[in-house]
Amino acid sequence: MTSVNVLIVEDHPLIVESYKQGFEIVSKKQSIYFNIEIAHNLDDAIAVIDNHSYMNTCDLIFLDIQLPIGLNQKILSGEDLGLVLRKKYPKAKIGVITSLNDNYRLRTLIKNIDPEAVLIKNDLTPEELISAIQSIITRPPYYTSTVLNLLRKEISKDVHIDEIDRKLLYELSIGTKMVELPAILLLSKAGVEKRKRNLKVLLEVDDLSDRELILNAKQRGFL
Amino acid sequence: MINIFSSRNVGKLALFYSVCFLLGCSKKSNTNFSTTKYELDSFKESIEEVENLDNKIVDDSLRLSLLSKLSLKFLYADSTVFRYTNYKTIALSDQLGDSKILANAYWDLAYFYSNYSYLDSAYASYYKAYQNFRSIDDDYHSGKMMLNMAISQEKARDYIGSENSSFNALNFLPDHKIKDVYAVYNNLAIIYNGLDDFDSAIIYHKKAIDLAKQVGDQSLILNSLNNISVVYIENGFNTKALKYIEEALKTEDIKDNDTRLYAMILDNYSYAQFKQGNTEDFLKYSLEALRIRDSIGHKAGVMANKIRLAEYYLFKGDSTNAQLNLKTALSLAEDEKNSKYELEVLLKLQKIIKNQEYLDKYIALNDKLIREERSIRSKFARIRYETDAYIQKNKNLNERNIYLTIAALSLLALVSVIFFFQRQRIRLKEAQMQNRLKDSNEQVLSLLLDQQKKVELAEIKERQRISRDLHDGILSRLFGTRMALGFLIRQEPNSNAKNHVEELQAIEKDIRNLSHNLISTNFDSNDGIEKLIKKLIQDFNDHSDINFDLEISKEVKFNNLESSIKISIYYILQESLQNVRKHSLASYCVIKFTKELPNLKLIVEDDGIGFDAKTPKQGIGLKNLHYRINNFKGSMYIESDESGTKITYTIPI
Repeated sequence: MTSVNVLIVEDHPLIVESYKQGFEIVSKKQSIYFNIEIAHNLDDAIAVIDNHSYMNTCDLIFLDIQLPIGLNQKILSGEDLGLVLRKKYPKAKIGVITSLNDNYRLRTLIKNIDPEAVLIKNDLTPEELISAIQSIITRPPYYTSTVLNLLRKEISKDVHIDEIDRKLLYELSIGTKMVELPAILLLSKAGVEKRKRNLKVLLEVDDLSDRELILNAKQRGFL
Repeated sequence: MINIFSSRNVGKLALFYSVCFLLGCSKKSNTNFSTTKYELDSFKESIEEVENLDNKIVDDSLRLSLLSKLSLKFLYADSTVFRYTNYKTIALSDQLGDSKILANAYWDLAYFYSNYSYLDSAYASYYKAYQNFRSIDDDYHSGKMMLNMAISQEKARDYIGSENSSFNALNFLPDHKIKDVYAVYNNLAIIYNGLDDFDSAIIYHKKAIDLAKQVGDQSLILNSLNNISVVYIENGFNTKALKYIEEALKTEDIKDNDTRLYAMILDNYSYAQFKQGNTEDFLKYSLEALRIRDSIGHKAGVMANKIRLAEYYLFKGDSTNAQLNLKTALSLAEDEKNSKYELEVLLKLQKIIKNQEYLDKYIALNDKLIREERSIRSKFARIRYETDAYIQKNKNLNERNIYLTIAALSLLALVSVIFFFQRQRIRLKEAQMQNRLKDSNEQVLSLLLDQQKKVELAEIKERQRISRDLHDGILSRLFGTRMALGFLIRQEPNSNAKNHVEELQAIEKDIRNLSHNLISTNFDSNDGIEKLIKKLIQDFNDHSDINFDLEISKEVKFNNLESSIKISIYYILQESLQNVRKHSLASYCVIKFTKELPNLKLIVEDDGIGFDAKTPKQGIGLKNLHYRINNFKGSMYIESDESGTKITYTIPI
């Protein structure tokens, strides 16, 4: 009987319970013993991560992206935590669980953390969860259908835009004002305007307004 | 010597009368007023009749005209009625300010006085006439009056004054009035003779003769010939005197035309002959002259004749006849109150008879005459002084008037300047106020826009909060519950609760989308001007009976406009709608925004009563609209008639 150390970072007890049930089912099926540790918030999670003796034995981490902000001023979300984990303990497998479903955020998340599993909450059912746990142990990665769709679109895309353009589109889509953009994108005002104009040419948007641009970008899977 | 002196006086006298006659004639033609319904000839010469005029003719100027004519008419008739009429004429014309009639009335009066030898009164009246003619710039008559004044002075032996007046008269008289100029020269000659300036007297007499010949007036020529001969006789040039007298005697019909002048010439002729030692014909001519003078009643002539006869008899040694003639002359002179002849006669009698009584009489009379002359001269001087004072007063008044005028003008200029500057200042202030109004309007609007932005920002924040709450809280709990339920029903596969769990999953998805849309609609937000415009229209709809309708065409993007243009559009719309609400009496008004590159068009159209767009009493509202629209080089076009008003604003963007 093999033993697997699991760390679950999740603030909702109900969801934690679901995870536990999922692991129990897999444990019964494959006679694996899961040693489950739970962190209910970012502070707890940071404390566990700092425990090297435990972390060196930790095989699997299930990480919620949306977490209440704790005392640490540098690690503000599950995403930040994921980055630290990936860096400090590259051997540990990371499964990200999130309710995010916009392409831009998911793309950056996958790109930066490169998790063994990405589970979109809306896609998730008990069966999916069980499959995900099995896959992540034996043959990662595991992506739920939303993520797969994103990747498919990404591959089949004929237009390629850089990270800053993507961020620009994203910020526009969430209603960020033009005046705020230079500070966010670290560009000059003229630079922002220029990129926007280029994007409109690239995505074949005639309209002067940003609305058409955003709608087009969404359709093409940039957002 | 004395005889010569007296005959000069005779000649002078004759001259005087002839001049007066001349003046009277010209005056008649000058007072040729419009005819009235009153027949002058039928007018009775009585004070009562003149008095009645006041009641008969109410119109002052008409009455004055009639009075003036009557005054002239009575001048040659009844002296009492004349004085009364003349007095009334002077009073009325003075009251009415009619200088011409007043001058003529004084002329009549002066003529009247000089006829009665009231020299000082005549002088004063002539002077008043002169003043009135001057005041109406009648140079000819002014000169004429001056001439008459000169003659009056000469008669009073005020030679220096007369000389002055004569030259004054010459200044006024126009060259073509030769007869008057002639009279002046004649007078001057007499004056110089009186002043014993023989050469000047001869020069002026010759000038007078030239003029008289120029006119061709027989009696004037004869007068002057006679006068110059008298001067020559007086100074002992009897040959020269005879030459002129003979020239005069050659004149045809001299005897019939002017018998008095003829007698005078005849007398002078005989005397000149006698003085040259040719005594043969003296008695013949002298007695002939005396006979003529006696027959026409020329008493001064008779006296002069008798004095010369006495001289002749004395020369012949016939002292009885000489005394007889002189005594006749003396009684005649005393009767006639002719002091000059009386003096001469007394002196001659005293020389012949050596009677102390004559000498005493002579001295007394001479003293009296000197006193009289002195007093009349001082009277002239007084009149002159009064004249001078009057002129000085006038001059002072004129000067004062000039100063007053200058002062008034400079005051006016000053007031104008002050007024001008005041107006400039008010205008400047007005402009400043308008600018300030504009500024504060813009401030209000930008505050409004700021407010709108803040409201929107708050709205966005609120949406984000709701979105996050939905997403992080509710959605997570829902998800957890669904998962837990999922594991629960997993043990009972046949349960149809699975459908409900799937339904839960669908709800989750809806909430997620909802949450997402809550924020993603924000990117379509704007600066709020469109909302402000909509709100403005809503306000107008709420606060008036007019139905305002807003149409914004799709291409119009308020976001891309400069903020100053946004503000102006808002202001223009507000002003236009206010005009519609206040003045149009419309029931419907449509506001359209369209884009016609490179312009944005705003049309405000109502179905009201319209206004006159061509001659608008432009209120500050309409002016401000023009000002605003001109500010960004836009244009404003107004079409208006009874069926409504349409204003099109074109704004370059």
